[in-house]
Amino acid sequence: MILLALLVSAFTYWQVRVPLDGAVRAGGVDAGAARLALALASGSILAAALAFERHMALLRRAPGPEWLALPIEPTQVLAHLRGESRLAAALALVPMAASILAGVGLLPTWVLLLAAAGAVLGWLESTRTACAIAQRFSARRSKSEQSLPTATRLLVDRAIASSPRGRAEASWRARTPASALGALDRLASRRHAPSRTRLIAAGVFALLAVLAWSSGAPPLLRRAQSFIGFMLVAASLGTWAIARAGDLPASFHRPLPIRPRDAWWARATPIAIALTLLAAVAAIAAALTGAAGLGGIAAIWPAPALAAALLGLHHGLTLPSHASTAENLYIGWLGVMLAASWMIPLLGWVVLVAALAHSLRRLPRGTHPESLGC
Amino acid sequence: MLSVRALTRRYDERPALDGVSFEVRPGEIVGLLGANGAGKSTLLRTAAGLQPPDSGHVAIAGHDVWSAPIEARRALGYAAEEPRFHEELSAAEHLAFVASVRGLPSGTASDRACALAEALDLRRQLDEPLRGYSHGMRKKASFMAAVLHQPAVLLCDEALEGFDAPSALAAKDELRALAARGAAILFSSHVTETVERLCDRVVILHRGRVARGLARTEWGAPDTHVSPLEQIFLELARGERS
Repeated sequence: MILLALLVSAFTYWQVRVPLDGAVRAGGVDAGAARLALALASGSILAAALAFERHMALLRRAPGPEWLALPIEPTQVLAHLRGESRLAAALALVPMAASILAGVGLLPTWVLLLAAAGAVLGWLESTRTACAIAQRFSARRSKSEQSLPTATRLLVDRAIASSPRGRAEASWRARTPASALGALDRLASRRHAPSRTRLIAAGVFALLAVLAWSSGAPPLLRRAQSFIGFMLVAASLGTWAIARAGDLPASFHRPLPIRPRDAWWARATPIAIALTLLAAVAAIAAALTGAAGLGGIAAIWPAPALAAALLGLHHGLTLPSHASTAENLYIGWLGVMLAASWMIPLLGWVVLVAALAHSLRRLPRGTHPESLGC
Repeated sequence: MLSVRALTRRYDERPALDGVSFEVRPGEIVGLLGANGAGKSTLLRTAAGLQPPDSGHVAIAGHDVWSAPIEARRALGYAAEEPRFHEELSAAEHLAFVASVRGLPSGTASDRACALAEALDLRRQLDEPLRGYSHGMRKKASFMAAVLHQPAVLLCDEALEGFDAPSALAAKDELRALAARGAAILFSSHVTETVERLCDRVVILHRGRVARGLARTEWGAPDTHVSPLEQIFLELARGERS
């Protein structure tokens, strides 16, 4: 995490420093201060997004009646949860601090001190507002007795009602373990909110990756836009694989005759099919718009995307029942890959290959249940 | 057959199991008794392959749980103390998944699941999501999944805890039927009365060691499988159902 923070800081510092220098030279201190304020405002928005996401997640699985039985006011429990959510948003302080550092030597000290104070205030206010909005959303969706105080309702209402969508007759077909897991994934992905959200995200990015070819931008830019969308599909599928593996109750699965390779094939197969199909569709779209040849995209794009998605799957398999840890690690790797790519062209791919090789070496640990917490 | 040999497991430096050895032969129901912290659940979890031992061996139907896990798991049924499921699934979908992973023919699997659900009074809730199940219903679903394939070795960790009386009797009948078919059953419980009526033999754990092994003849078990109070409760429940 420290390494990641350093990389993010270095990356942000470089990204802010150069345009800030340009702005100060062209428009003086005022233009530079405005540029810095913009960077810090972006940091506050990032903090708000992080706090909102975390708070929604915490309220979805709030402590529940056992906490309500303690001699603590429900509002205090909620305040504690808000604190937890805002703590997650502290990550945004890293790029914000790097932005202020980028101004050292370019802007007067009093401007930087003012910016630092503004950044802290912005972070505090944005995270507070984000938590309040998340609380309001959750309260609106609450199915508990309306006459109860909001705080009590939010704590009682921890069970997310199972969606009636997709409820069908159980299929009793005999299958191989990999095929049975695949069928289970298809079924559970419709009802398990984290899996469903990640699949929807993959679908949206897939649509954008295809639509990018008709954007009217220069061919090279269109290719870049589509490729970014394509890699975001891969990352979303990687997080889906983590969500599926994280949903495995180990005490139930481990006594079943399921090999780690069954769990691997059950997820790797649909991911590979989805990415290959999407590459084919993107290639056709590129050829139809005359922006690029058909063969190159279909042949080359699936490999790096598959590597990125499989990295997620490996993290999910080696950290079953610890989905959020696996996802944080995975996103961390993708972040390092992105930052490396930005600093030195192609270095990101080296990072991806190294991460994949590392995760492959860890894969046999998935059979070692010490860390299952089951 | 279940064979446990010199099984040792430590949590930090505290031994939870200390050189435990015993066997459960085919057709035998062996009760596992012990105070809280005696090592019963650790023994069952280690035997089920949920956690590795520090030393020693567990063989299920002749297959070592750690060197030949898939073969061992094919012969194993495990009813956990705190069962966990894919909460989005219904009990029927959960059982169908277990049946398909174990390669049970579809007709046989669904018929057996329905029969078990009927016996355990879970038939009406079979298509409801497991998330909404009460503790007792979850234990029943876990028990059904463990016995669905009529395993050669069955490990029950407080399996009947939370069952209502008629369902507990039906589950005990199912266990006796499995044993009659040649299954080796290790049944852990805090309830000595259940153990003394159900089991052929008892292993008593104390501080991670086998303190004593007793055969049924040694404790003079009651003749009937049903206690007088259970009998009254059962008649009432049957009357209500009909």
